[in-house]
Amino acid sequence: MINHHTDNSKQSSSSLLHTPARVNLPRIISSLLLLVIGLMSVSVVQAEYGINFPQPAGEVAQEIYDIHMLTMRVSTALLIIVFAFVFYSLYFHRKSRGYKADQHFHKSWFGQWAWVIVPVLVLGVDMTIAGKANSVLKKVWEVPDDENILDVKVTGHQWWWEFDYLDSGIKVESRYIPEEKAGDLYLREVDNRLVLPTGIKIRFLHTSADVLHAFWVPELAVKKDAIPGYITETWIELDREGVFRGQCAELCGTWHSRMPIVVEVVSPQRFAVWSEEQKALKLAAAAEASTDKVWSKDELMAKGKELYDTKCAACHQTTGLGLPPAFPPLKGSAIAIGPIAAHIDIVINGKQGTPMVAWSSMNDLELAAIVTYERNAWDNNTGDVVQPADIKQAR
Amino acid sequence: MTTTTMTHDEAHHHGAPTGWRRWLFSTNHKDIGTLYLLFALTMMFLGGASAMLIRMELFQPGIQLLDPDLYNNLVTNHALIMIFGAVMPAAAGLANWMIPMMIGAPDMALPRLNNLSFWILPAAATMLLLSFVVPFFPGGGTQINTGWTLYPPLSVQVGMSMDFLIFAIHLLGISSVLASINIIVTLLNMRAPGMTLMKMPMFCWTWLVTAFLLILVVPVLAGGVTMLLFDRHFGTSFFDAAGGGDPVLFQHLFWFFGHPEVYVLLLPSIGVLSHVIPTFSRKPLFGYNSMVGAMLAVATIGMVVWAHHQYTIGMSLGAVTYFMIGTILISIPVGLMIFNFIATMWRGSMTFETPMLFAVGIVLMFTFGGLSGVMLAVVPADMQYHDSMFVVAHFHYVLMPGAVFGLFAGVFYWLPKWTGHMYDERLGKIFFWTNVIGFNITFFPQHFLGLAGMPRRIIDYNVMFTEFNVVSSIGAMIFGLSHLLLLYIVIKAIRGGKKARSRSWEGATGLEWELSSPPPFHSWTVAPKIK
Amino acid sequence: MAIPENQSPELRKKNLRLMWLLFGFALMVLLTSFPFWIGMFRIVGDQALG
Repeated sequence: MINHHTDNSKQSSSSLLHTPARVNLPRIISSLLLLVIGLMSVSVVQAEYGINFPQPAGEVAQEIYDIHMLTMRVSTALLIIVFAFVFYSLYFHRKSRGYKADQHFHKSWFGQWAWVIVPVLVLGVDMTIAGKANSVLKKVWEVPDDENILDVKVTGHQWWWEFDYLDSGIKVESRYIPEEKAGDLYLREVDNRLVLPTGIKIRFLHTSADVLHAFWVPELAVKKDAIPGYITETWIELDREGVFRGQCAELCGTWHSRMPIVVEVVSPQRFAVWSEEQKALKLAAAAEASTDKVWSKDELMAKGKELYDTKCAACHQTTGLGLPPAFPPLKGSAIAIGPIAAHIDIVINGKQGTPMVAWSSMNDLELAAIVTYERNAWDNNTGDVVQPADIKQAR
Repeated sequence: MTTTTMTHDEAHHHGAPTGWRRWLFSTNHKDIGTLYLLFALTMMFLGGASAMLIRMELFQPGIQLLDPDLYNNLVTNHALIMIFGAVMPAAAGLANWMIPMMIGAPDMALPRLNNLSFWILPAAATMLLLSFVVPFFPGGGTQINTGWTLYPPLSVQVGMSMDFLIFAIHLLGISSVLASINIIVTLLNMRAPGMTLMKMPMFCWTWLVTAFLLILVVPVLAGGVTMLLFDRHFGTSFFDAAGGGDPVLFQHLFWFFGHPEVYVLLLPSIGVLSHVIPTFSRKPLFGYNSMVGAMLAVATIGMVVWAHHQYTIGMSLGAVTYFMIGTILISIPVGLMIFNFIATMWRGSMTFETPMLFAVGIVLMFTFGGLSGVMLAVVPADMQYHDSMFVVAHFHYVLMPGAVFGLFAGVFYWLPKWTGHMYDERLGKIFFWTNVIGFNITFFPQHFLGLAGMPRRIIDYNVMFTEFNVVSSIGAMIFGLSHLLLLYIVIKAIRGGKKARSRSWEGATGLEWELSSPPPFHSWTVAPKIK
Repeated sequence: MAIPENQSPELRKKNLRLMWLLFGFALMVLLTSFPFWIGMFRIVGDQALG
């Protein structure tokens, strides 16, 4: 950085000596633009956080990084050549220096053939880039055939991520953490991370439950849109452990900014342990939900508040006031204080044509708790208690 | 009505009619050109204001000024207003003013169509503004939070303001197709005897190609948004997977329009540049023929590479390879254009009045934007860049110098011709420097933001992105406010100043400089002879 | 609402003819865009998803 700056000042001061006093504009342009080039080359030689892409975490990502660096270097070189010619011309071919225009320049042999020479040169540069890009593309684009590939289904929701490990049945729901808890990592931290192992090929299957989203973690490099009703795929093999952060990249409505993605890459052994833990947790939750136990209102309310605040509050708000008109309030709403059956139905099946999605993937206990909470919180005070058995019946 | 016609017919012999009738009923290419330019100027300030609000919100992490939907509505409006309200009408204004004068015609070929195509614009702008205003009223539905790309299913979720916007887009489309038809007819039928196509001034050539592009792509956008309207209200499912449609179809329709649209914005400015650079280099344009060829090549290839805006939708390997190679190949004709400009300056006898400063700025910064475009064309790398701030930086580096600075250059270049007064050269230069420096401070850091992982179109960001956002926002304030100076310079030049000669610039060539400054009400009543 | 009297009848006819031709062309682009795009999309889509 320091070197570049001294270079700049040297060059501009040397041009100062030759510049006639009257016109100093080219000098100003040149020093300004040299500064820009200086900054550019800083970004080329250093891959520091905050200026260039972060260090890739897998082979595919590394290849993508390399092709990025290649095109950037080629572009910078071309830019310097163009700037050099323009500034040479700006400096020497000026009327104030008494330069007479060469009226026959375009009729010289060069003028006659430039339309062939220039495209051939540009084509050469293009082929350099396209050739390399093409081979990288083949590798990145096509998911390799591999029996041991780990399939992770990535589903975008307004505004959270759902990760399903298709082989083990583990499901991770990942939501942003409010600023009070997340601190400096606000908008880059989630409640449940996507945990992935190193050393094995991983295939992401992208889809969406509502509108377009896009899964983007710069260290993993592969980005794909999540399209409702369709599945797109990407793959990567990770070779570095660590925590990598990204965000939803495709505009998905109001809280597009609140869809962080955090990937925790661990060793295969650690991943196996984690998988077992998750399976055990899931079994325990299912067992708890399926017992015919009758829950007390307080238990359901406590559970319901926790679930509501993570799953429902993004739209309907913790206050139950919603964000009308897109997201209606629940406080005093016809659904929340009306018939129980209709309330359960909209929660399980969602509402067509609105952002309200079906929540049928949650278990009976969770749904019962949420409905109970919504019917009693914020002065709704219906006194209704919905049991898991009621949900089971309604399904 | 008859009496009006009578007075107007008389007026045509003597000079401009007076009062509001002169403007509302105008069939005069210069008056309509002026209307277009004033409309564009107004819209530029509206679009600029929304951009400044966006940057103010992004000045610090956290949500300070706006709410998320309002923020994204401003993002949407900024794009639509700048593209359809500012750049295209400004380019059409230049075309209206200059084309008849450049080809030795008395007026446009279809003067009444000309009147219609302008007066649709204020109506369209009103609809566009209504789409913004309506959500503030009870029952007005939600803000348009989709961005200018209007991708479904998000755009199906939006309330009635989206219908206003769709209607506005239809009107804007009709207006630009009508204007294009008029320009093509004028250029093909009204040229002075002896002016063959290959003797036509470059600005006319660029507009001929632009007009054809518009006729080819604008109806497709109209079709796309109509399908969207049907999906929203009439139960069709063109873009709904649940009904057998596909959301991605809309993206194809949109970008089939959207990518050639980039060249629609760009080419008129390339035309302006092809006059400004030779004038101030005192030397003819280098490679007129190759310039025409390059432009035709850009337009042709530009029509068939639209899907490079959608690399992440999961196309087949064959499809992305095709779109990648096609996109990279565009660098050949564009490179040739830039080369021709540099070769025109080369061994010229240059002076640096404001139009030339802008021209040099374009050559340098547009090259920069074009090169980051080549980076974006590379599919594997684009998987990183896509929808990040890097893209925002890239297309502003292409469109600000490529389109807007070209229009500024044109305005400064022809202002003496239009008003009969020289503008204030010192202020013009100050405007250039504040504008260009503000622009670079605004958009250069956004490359870094994108590479570090900041997506586009987010209202709130993590603290790690703070520094560059602060710099960018400060630059945006300088950049935005500098346009007030442009307004002042233009008003000052209209009101008075040093008298401009017919040939206002020493090195200027072309028929428009044979007419007086300001030119007579009917440009060329007797067609000039072209050798 | 005056028509510039300096257009000869022949030129005026020629201009209007070209105008209608272009107008028809724009209309054709609009109308064909619907089936064209749906068909085009099927082709690309089959390749991508099949």
